[in-house]
Amino acid sequence: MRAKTWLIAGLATAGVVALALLGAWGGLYNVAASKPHLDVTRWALHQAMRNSVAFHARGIVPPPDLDEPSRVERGVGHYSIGCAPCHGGPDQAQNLVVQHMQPAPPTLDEAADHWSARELFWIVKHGVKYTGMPAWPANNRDDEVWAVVAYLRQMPASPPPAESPSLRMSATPESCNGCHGPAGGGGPHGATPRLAGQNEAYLARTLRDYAQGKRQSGIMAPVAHALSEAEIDRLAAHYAVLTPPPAIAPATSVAAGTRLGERLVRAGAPESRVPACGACHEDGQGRAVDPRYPRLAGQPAPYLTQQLRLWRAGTRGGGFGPVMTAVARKLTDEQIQALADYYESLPR
Amino acid sequence: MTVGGALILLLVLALTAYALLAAPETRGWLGSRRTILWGGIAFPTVTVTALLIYGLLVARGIVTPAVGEDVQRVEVVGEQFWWRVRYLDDDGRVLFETANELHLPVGRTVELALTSADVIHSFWVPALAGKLDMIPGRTNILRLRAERAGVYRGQCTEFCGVQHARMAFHAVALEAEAYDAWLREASGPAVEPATSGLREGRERFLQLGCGACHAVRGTGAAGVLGPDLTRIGSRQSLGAGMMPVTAENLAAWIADSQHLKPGNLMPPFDMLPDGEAQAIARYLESLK
Repeated sequence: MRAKTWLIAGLATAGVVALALLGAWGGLYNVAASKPHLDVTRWALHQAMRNSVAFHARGIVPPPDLDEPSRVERGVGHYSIGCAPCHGGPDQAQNLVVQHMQPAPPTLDEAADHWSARELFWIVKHGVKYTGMPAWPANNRDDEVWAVVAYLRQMPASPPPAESPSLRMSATPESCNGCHGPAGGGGPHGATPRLAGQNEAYLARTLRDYAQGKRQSGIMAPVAHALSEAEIDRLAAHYAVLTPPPAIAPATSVAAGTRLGERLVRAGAPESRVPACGACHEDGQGRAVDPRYPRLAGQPAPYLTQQLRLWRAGTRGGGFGPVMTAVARKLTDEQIQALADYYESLPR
Repeated sequence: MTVGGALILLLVLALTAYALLAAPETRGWLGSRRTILWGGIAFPTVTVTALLIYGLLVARGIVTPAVGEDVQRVEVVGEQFWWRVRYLDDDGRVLFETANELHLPVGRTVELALTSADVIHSFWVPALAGKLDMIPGRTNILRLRAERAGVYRGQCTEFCGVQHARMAFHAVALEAEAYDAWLREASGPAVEPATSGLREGRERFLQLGCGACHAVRGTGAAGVLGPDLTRIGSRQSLGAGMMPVTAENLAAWIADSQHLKPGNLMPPFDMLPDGEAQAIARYLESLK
């Protein structure tokens, strides 16, 4: 009797395995994207995805100033070239080819109603398996991921930049200006660096660093990776000769900060082992800067602050990376803000 | 004092031998209350107290600043992992700064003000004086005198971090005349580069921003974080006693000092194109 029970159980197991092999391995299961899932399958898969996102996103804390304008501005630019091709956007209908994916990427104008900020962050950063949603191309740039989340939260309300209503990734200045402002002069909220008048050697090296993965960015790396060597040189030469817009006059509220910034630029802070910024970059007194170093005068404070924080965290690579990392490691929040305010106010 | 110490040692050895070898009935007095009171308590108390008083008197001469005496004053600051050396005038003003090397006149007292910029280091030139700790926020005075000309090696003797073992320096004792000549040269500006190649090296040095941390007197470079390089080419060693100062070693240090001396404060410049570090190194090597 007992032997018989075992025999039946064994046969049943073998049968299931054989069926599974026949179905999956043998090619009977139809993977066609043209054939939608059964309703029940779709429901189960979607629910599993939602639960997985909710589970893995616990413990993620959004930055307190998530909806800050310069963060949203950075998100807008990337959305147009990185997200809209599949998800569509306020100015861009969803691509017809993409609509035939299985599952088709959802439009995102209501994404913020369905997902919390930390869930959106998790999805943008890690992607979703089996759906075609890719992970963020740089795994140490959470600041960029939050920028996209910030934009998603107010997407219907803020149209992409007027300069280039439907941005496409291309090797033309028009494409770069979509984020970097008209004639490379920077966006209204200072999210991106002003390219106009920047050192040519620095611009070319930066694009190559992005393309080769020496400098990490989910926004810039895909753009730079698509450029040829000749296109990199052409773009660098194009922006280097443009005249930058006049420097942004400091608000009175930051005047005290710029004085601290000026002191750091001229003399550093020897007591905390911070060398003078002006020994390599502009010193506000007309020092000739090595063309391989970036010109900082007139760069927007939000961009400079962001970069100095990345340096300090040790996640900003690129050419002279080890040198700046060694310097920025010792900067306080107050010093970073003061330096950013000072360089923003410095005329080119 | 040596004779006294030797006599006491002999006495103790003799008593030990006596206690071991003598017959039990004759050695009994050794354990008496009287022997223990006089030999075990009174005698050590008197001799050790006398020694302490003598030691304090001698130490006062070593550690108190001299007044109105002909001494060379030098401030030495221990830093991770090198020595900042500042020559002072009679009023305590800084005449000039150098690093990892202490020049001193033979037969004349040198008064060192020792302190630290970060953690506790310890200053020791075994051939010249005992060790003395360099303590952050405190200045310890050490007076020493070299009796013979020569180069003496010094070493940090208080564990101060990953490169403690490679925190060495050289003390160079010079005869009075040679010392005065050295002092005159060392307090002046750096030599002008003699060739176009060396001028190019200086140009690269200044434009790259080396002056953010290093000083070369007479050029725009006035950094205070790292060693002064005004006469680096004439120094005994590179990297605080690590290797001789040659253009090759300097170039290797610029390109990746973290490989040579991991944990020092200088970032690597391995991104410089071929020839640039070498040009800077040749310029630095020419600074004699």
